Amino acid sequence: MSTRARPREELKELFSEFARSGDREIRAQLVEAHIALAHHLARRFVYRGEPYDDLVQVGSLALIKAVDRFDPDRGVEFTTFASKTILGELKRHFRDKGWAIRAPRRLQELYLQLNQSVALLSQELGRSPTIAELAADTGAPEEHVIEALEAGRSYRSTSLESSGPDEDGVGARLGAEAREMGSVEWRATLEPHLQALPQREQAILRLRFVAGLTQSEIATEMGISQMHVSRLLAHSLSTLRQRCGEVEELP
Amino acid sequence: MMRSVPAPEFIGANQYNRVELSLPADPQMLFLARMTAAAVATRAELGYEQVEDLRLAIDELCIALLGSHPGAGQIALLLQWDSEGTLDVVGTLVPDGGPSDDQNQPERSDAPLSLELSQRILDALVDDHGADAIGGVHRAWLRMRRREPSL
Repeated sequence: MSTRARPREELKELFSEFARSGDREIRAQLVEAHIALAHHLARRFVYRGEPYDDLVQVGSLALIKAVDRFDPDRGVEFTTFASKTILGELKRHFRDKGWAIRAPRRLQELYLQLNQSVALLSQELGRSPTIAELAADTGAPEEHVIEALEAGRSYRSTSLESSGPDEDGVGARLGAEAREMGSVEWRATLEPHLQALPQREQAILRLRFVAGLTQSEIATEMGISQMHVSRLLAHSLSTLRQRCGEVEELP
Repeated sequence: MMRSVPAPEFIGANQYNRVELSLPADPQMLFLARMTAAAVATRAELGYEQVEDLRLAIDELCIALLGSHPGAGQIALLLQWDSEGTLDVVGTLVPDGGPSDDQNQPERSDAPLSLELSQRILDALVDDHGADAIGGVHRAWLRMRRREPSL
């Protein structure tokens, strides 16, 4: 980390001076000296569906907040103090910003926890975990797990909402391969409607419903979490139904 | 309407492993069906991935039932599972005023594209599915079997 680049004593002095003077130049130096901490902590959340750059931005703002609030006379290391602040802000970001419909906090937190549990247990068990196993792993009752999965439908990440093209992404490549595998009927009837979806959602629909890959296989291929694949599938099917003139978007 | 696979036989089934749910024929209420199906799938010990597939499949099944006239009547869902991990869901669209014996009742004008979409999606999500319409009552069903762990 860049704290290594500057001797500890020098940083301590800078903090003391900043606490006395509030000098903005010193503040900038302190933020710069610890920016790697924000990157490091942001990386812990990259598998939750938010772009890394957005997470770094949230972490960096929290770092500035930590610099402003840090009291060097308390005898606590700045990295300890700042880590708590940054982690708190990152968690709040997921809790508050990622939900289209306000879900109870316990469900929001459980949903984010489940995201990690699904990934870890799938790897450990070599298969998809059951709801009972997810409940045991998260310490939540089964009915709360089911509630959280349903609430997760209203969770949205920036990449989920993005409608921009992803020509260079793995999604576009895999989607194109899956398109070649599709039946004549599928191509004739649904391709025009698929074209209206973002590249990543097109790719996921084709991989699941044309190429027949499972959600976990798609997650591996695309380098995203299985729960993110679930959300994208539900969202893109809903959009596709709208395009086909069926019903309004499902809640 | 969809594939012609016979509906699962429920007569004499173990009532203990059976759940019935009735909800308004309104897409906004489908979360009740998804949550119930997920709870039943949990009892049948299906994995997370299959539970997620089932939730998508329930949407498709109900939407196929609703056709192009959502909002009229009720959807009655019957869910049943066994110890082998086979889960059956039968949905019936019950129109306002109850089922009609009127054979002259006009057929619904479901968009072929919508049906094609539902069929393709259900093909990929479940092991069997089908639908019929008798005496103005529309039914759709699906069957999902617990997948063995793929190591």
